[in-house]
Amino acid sequence: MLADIAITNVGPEDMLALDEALSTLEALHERAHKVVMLRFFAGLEVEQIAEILDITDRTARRDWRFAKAKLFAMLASNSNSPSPDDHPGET
Amino acid sequence: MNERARRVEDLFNDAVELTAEERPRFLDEHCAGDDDIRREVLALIEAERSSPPGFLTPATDASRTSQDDDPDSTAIPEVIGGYRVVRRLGHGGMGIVYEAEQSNPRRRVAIKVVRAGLNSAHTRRRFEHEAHVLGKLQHPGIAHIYGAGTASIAGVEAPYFVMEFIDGLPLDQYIKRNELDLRSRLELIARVSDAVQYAHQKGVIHRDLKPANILIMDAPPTTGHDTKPSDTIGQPKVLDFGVARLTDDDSAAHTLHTQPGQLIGTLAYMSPEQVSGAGADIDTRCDVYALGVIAFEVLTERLPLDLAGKTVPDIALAIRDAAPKRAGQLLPELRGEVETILSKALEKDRDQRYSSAAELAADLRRYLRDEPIIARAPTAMYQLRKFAKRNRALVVAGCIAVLALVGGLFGVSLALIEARHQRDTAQAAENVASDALRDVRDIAAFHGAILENIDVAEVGRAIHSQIVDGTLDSVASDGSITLDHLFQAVNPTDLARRVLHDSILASASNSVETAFADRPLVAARIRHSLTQTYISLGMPELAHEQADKAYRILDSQLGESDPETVEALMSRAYVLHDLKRLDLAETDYARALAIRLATPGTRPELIADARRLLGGVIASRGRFDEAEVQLKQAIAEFKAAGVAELVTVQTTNALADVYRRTERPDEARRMLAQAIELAEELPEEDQWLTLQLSNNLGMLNMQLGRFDEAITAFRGLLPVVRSKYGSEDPRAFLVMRNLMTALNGAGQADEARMLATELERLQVQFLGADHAETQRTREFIEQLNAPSDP
Repeated sequence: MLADIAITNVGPEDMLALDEALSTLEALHERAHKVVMLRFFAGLEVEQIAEILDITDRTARRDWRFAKAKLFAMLASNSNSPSPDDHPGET
Repeated sequence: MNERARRVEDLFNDAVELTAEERPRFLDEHCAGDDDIRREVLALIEAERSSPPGFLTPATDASRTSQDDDPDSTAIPEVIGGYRVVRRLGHGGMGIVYEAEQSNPRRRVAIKVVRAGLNSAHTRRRFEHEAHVLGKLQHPGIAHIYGAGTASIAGVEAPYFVMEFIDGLPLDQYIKRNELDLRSRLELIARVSDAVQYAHQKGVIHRDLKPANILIMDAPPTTGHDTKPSDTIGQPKVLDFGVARLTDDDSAAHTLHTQPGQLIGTLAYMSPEQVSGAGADIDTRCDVYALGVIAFEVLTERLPLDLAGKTVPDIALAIRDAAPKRAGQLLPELRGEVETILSKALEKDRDQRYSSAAELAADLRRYLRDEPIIARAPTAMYQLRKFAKRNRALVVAGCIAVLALVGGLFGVSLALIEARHQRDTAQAAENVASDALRDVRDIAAFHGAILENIDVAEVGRAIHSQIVDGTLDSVASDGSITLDHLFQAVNPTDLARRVLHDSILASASNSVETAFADRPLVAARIRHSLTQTYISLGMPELAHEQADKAYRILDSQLGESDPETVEALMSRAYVLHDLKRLDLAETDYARALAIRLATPGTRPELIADARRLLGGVIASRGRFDEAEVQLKQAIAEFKAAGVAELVTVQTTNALADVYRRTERPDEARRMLAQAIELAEELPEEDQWLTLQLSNNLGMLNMQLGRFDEAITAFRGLLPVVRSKYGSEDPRAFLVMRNLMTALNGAGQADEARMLATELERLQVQFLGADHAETQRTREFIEQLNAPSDP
């Protein structure tokens, strides 16, 4: 019982930070963003996501891994003022 | 999509599989001297390494695969900071929670190991300081934090804190399992509020209150452990007080390790000021809001806002702007006070909320003790004010009408009660008094209920749709929309009338019979009162409907010669006159007069009153000789009775009008002068009549060609009328029109034109461009301009 609840400790402001990071990711890598939405928010399996997005399982998995690292890097650096690394310019 | 991002992604995915030794060579080879890319790939690899296991991992996975994926799952430390770990309770947002045992004092504790890396001396000091502050929170309703420290776990230096172990269920589950009734639920919320209040007094804001953070003790305390007398079944315990703040510096990432659905689960309890990114400006009232959401959810099993299926930004918008559901609509037993309490806690503007958790708790308990609560419908007033702020010009007319309405309802019904009281003097005094009291109370309650049930949102929608309809009509002709269009297309006065009728008066009218099924007399009196209200709103058709019903009820209940029945008949006649149904009006007045004459003991001024009104209708029908006879007699009767100077003045004025219309200007002037003389004796509140008389005298002078006298009269009158009724009042418009007509008559065309232009501007703004009066002014201006351009 305690296990069910004492562990959910998501600060509300953090949700907004995540949302911001997700927007940045979307601009950067739209497909990876989709994978996050389907995986984390919709709870789909990588294989299902691959099917929906019409990509290989491997690509989906690589997108997912990249997205997670990218999001964490953005959130960990500073949720309010991401470092320049988080916004590589368009090339 | 971004090519560079793709490349970073590929390099990252390949490089991350390599060993630390292989990596530099791989990157040298593939980054081809692009140091930016190289740095970015390395940053991502570092990010993955330092991210908590299960970061962004869906719940389904976490439970299914944690044994395989989560390296921490198998490695439960035996000891953390001197506490013997018993088992792992779970992992989540900030880290892993263990159940542990302390040997001295011997007790069960929960230990939360925080994943945040305390990477500077500063953050570490801060963590310890905060933990120390939290440790000082000692309240039966708060999970006590015993201590904090850092320990080396799996080779990593990690901060942890030790807290009271609670054997309980989250608030929502507890309530469901124990099937608590409404009272117990409210009492529970009050107790949670007590705990929150305590922490607030110690300067700690929770910032993340939600049912999952509130445990209710479900098991009796185990003997041998650290038990307190307060720890009984049903005791709420708030968890994680101030913890949301504890690791602020250590980035959001550590708290984002959550599961789908919990996103909404957390945001739903966030206050508008939190989602608005007020940041540092958060105060204790955000917890009051969260308590409001929790109470709403616990009572109705729904959230006050519909957030399902919304994106995070949309949720934030909804929290800021969307009106919460009304608890009473979800669950009828919550209607009234509970709903009011919830609304006050859920106010968007924190200044309108309960200023503290203690106030909320106190109001909940007042309700439970059947005492009057302090939260009040000002909420509705406040929302009206907010609406008014946004739609100022449109609302001006509406406000005036509302005031007239409220005043009208109460004033008239109290007057009626008094009338009835007088009629019943023959009865035993106590009976009358208590009867009258009961009626006053019930009528007041009825009015209160009508006003309380005004659905402001509905009123807003009605106004909106009226505006849209009006605007669309005007847009159809020329295809563009501007603010001016809006004001021109929608006449605010009409709008206010219609909305008042649709939203308030119609429902009053419809519920009168049901509310007073056993007391038709009271129903009739309310209808009579509604008649007055519709008259003051300028809605004679609806006034007529009410007057007719009131009269019929009284006629059948009290008989046609009862004074109250006659009074209702007079009202109906008045409305009929207003509707220009002159024959019917005359019939009613004649009948009223006949009954009053035939009823012994009727006060003479009542006879005179019926007579003067009858005379007025007859004059309107153009039978001036007859009218003159009736009015003269009425004046004589009023004078003989020695009362009611006001009506005497009015009657004299009516007689003057008869003379004016029968081309007897000198007699008319004499009458008016008499009337003005009489009017000056009137009390302050009746002085408006003097204004009316002065205006009429001005008109008369104008008619006689004495323009200078008329101009003087109107010039003197205008500032008085404006200061009394406001520059945008139709009465001020009337005086302006008269003055400009007189000016024109005196040959002062330029001044007349200036005044007319100003009048047109005001009329367009307040009456609408298409209003008959506005058009009249426009025609006047055109005529003024015509001679110069023949």
